[in-house]
Amino acid sequence: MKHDLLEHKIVLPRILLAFAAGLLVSSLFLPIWQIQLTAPQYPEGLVLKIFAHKLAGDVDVINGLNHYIGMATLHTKDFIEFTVLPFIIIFLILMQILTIFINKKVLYLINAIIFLVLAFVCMGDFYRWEYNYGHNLNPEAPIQVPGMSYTPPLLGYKQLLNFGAFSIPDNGGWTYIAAGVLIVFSYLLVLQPKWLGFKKTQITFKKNYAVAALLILISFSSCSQQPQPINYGKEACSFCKMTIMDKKFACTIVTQKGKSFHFDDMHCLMSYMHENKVNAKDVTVYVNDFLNEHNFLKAGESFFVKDDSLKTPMNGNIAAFASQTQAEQYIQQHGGSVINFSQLITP
Amino acid sequence: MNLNLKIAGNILLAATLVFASCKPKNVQDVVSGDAAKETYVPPGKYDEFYDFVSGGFNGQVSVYGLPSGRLLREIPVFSVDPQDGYGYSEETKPMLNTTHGFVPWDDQHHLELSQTNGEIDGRWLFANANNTPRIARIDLKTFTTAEIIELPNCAGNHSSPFITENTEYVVGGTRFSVPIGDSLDVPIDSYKKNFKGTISFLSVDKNTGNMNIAFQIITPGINLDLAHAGKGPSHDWFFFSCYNTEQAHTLLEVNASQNDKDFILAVNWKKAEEYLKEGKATKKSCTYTHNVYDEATHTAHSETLNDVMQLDATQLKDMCYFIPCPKSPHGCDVDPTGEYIVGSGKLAALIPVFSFDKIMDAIKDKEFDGDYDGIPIIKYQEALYGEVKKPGLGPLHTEFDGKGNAYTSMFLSSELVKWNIKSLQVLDRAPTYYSTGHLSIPGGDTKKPNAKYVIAYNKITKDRYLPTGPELAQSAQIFDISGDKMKLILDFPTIGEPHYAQAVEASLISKNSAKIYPIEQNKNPFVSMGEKTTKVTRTGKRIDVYATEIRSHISPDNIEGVNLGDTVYWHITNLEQDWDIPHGFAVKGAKTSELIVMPGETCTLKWVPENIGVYPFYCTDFCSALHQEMQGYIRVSAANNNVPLSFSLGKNSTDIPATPGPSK
Repeated sequence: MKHDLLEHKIVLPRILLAFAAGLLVSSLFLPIWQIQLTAPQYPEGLVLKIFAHKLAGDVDVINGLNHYIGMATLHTKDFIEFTVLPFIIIFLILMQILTIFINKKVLYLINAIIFLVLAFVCMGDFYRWEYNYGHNLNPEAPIQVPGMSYTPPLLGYKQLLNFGAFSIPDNGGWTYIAAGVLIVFSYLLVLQPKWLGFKKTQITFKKNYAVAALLILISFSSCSQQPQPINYGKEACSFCKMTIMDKKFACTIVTQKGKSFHFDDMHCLMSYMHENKVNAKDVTVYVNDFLNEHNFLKAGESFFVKDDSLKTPMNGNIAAFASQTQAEQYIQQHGGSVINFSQLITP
Repeated sequence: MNLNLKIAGNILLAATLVFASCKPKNVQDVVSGDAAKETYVPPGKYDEFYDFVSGGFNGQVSVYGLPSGRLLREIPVFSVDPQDGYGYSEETKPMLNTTHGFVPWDDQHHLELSQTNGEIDGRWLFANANNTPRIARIDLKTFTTAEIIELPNCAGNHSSPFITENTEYVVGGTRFSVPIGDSLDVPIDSYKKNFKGTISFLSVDKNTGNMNIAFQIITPGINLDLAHAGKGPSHDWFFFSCYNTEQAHTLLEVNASQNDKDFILAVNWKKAEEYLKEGKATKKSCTYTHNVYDEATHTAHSETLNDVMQLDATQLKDMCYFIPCPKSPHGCDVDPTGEYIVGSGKLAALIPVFSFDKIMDAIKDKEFDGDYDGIPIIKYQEALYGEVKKPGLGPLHTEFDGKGNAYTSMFLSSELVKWNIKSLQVLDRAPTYYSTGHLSIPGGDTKKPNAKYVIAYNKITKDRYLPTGPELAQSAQIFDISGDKMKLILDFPTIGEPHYAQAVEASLISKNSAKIYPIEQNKNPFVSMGEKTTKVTRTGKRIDVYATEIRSHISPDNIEGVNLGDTVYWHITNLEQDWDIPHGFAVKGAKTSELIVMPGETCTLKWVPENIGVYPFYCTDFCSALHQEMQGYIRVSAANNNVPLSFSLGKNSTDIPATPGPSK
């Protein structure tokens, strides 16, 4: 193994570590963690942002609310973590630089171990603080729910009285995690430990680039451009806010990012596009097949009939058909007139 | 193996990036498809219900139509209204007279429609004033304030104005205990010794509606929050929610929230009546005003009264009982059958429901847990029917649908919760926007609720409507409750801050609504029964202008001979007898407001001119095509001049003498 490595200069792992160092630098300046709070009377939402060196976000509002249930008020100066954390991150950055330049294989292992240990210690400390915050309550608090404690979630969603708390890494946290992934990977690349089942293979540049390309592809392609199903009887039209009840006239816009907007009537869909200046070329419009409510048709490939006797929810009075024959058959039986999709979407 | 690992690692990296955007979405409020149809009242058609809504810090009572949510009228009650001259005209100024002098504003919290046999009868609307404790009675034929009586020995008149089911009494209980004994000037921290609460029972005359303080019950120094009278079997009783049993006088936010249970005070008012008859009450001297508006003379009179009869709850047995109730209770509501009493502890996580039968049994069997200041405390379990578990957070008020269900407003979890009284099960929840305080169902606190709608009155508005700077109107939502589940159908802003509302079928009131005041019944001492009787007289430095308004002129409209230093009283009579033809009146530089005079009514505006000159006066209410021509001039000359007093209408008019009438 040593022989192989000496033949190929260790380039990729050191590039990865350099990226890791860069990512760690951004962790110093970006918020690392966030706890989002939602409650019915807070439509604007509240958030607690934790930087390496301070607390930010709606700290004052949160402190004001929490005193009713006896939770301690939060102040940056009360936490030694905010003094220590920046130094920990700087230390990690230096470790990357050290490993890049000294380039001893064992350093890659030590680097990865130190990173992982520190990550666990930080999360453990965070949990310990959360537990205390949620349990050490002021006995004179006005609102006391017997047996209730308010430990915020470590990761994910938790309901606390009338607030929903969602705890998740913030931008600086993601870069920290990404740095960690790169550090562990560089260790694996360099040491190719047998216990992971590595065989004697060659690392080629071509494979690296292929992998990098895959990486970019995956991170940029989000959900595909398929429309999300409509929750009839529960979901509201994105334009008029009425509940979407009638399957026959429901329609959807899917943006390039894969986000779906549902409407209960073509009228609303067209109004929405007009109001928000949405270009028809930027989105895909889907309409429900008038004859088969389980069939979602692409608007550009469908045939439309305008008939006032349809009495659609918002009086758009437009029905969509999969084929021209079906559209013409409808007109023969019920009346109405053919209308082109291009006529519909241009104002 | 390498490649697999790399791919796995890259996927992990990508996954974390994708995951970054995932989070639980806020639930959008969904309105059912036919909501618009349900709330739309077509042009020319009437709403189904009158909704009387308290104005809170606005001091007035507003009237909305349901289901359209349209504002029909704002009735001036406790705040001066420059729009129509309430509190500014000579006739209405006495209405706002108190033992502290003229008070131009108050905090109008709760309303109660008069009832006969437990059903709304549409005669009067009672309104309370929190700050300078008073109770008002509004006449629903004319939608005007007919009477205001001050409550002595009272502060923070909050558990008010609640009535017995036949409007025998209307009560007012104190929120802030104050010293009421012989010495009023005591240190604040002598609260536990010197501060007391009072409940005033005002008798209501069956025919005229006139109120009189029949007696006051003195309670320990706790805060009396809300109240409701019993119905049917519990007819003889009145129930008050009490908090601050800790008797704290500072930092109540913390100090009044310590006790796990406060109380509901059950008062046997029939027993109190007996004690009064038996002479067990003590006469206490204290001053308070009683102001009555006489519709015939269109004038209010204020008299000051000097004593009340007081009954001591800690001394007189079998009149008052405490029932423990978690925790700082706010609402105290009696169901239509009169059997169940619901306490809403605003800091509690459950709703206790008490049974009247059980309370009576507990009293009979003396199931007491000690006493509080001499008043027996009934054992909690002996009075309790059951508890609604985990209904929501911060229950405040409960109203009933008459079908065995109750609706409670939850302030903290910002929702209305429907639950069944017998089974104590939660049946439905509806979010409100946001933090609902009070809710009301037409007749929801009477024997016969008309449970078509429940309206949530909220405390936080934020993004519900177009923003109007930092200060926003309060929001209200109407829910259709004719089915099993609540359906949100309308969202409308309200004026002031509603704390309570009473809605009633429109026909009960609309059929009696007066259109005009018949002028032949006008007994105002300054009335002019026709243009021929209009005149201007001088009595020393007092000038009385007896004027009339009719489309489209004011008589007289040229007045001379007023001197600087005179005080002018304008007595305006609206001679119209036609529907919706009011006239307004204003004179330049007047330091009062305008007057709006209804057909057949007489109102007086007091004016002290500050400078010499010729002052225009005019009609301010657009009454006719020639409204703009409805004007006049009054000449104010320097003191000690030789301008004779004269008045006229028209240049060569022979109807009115050009020479002044006899001066006294």
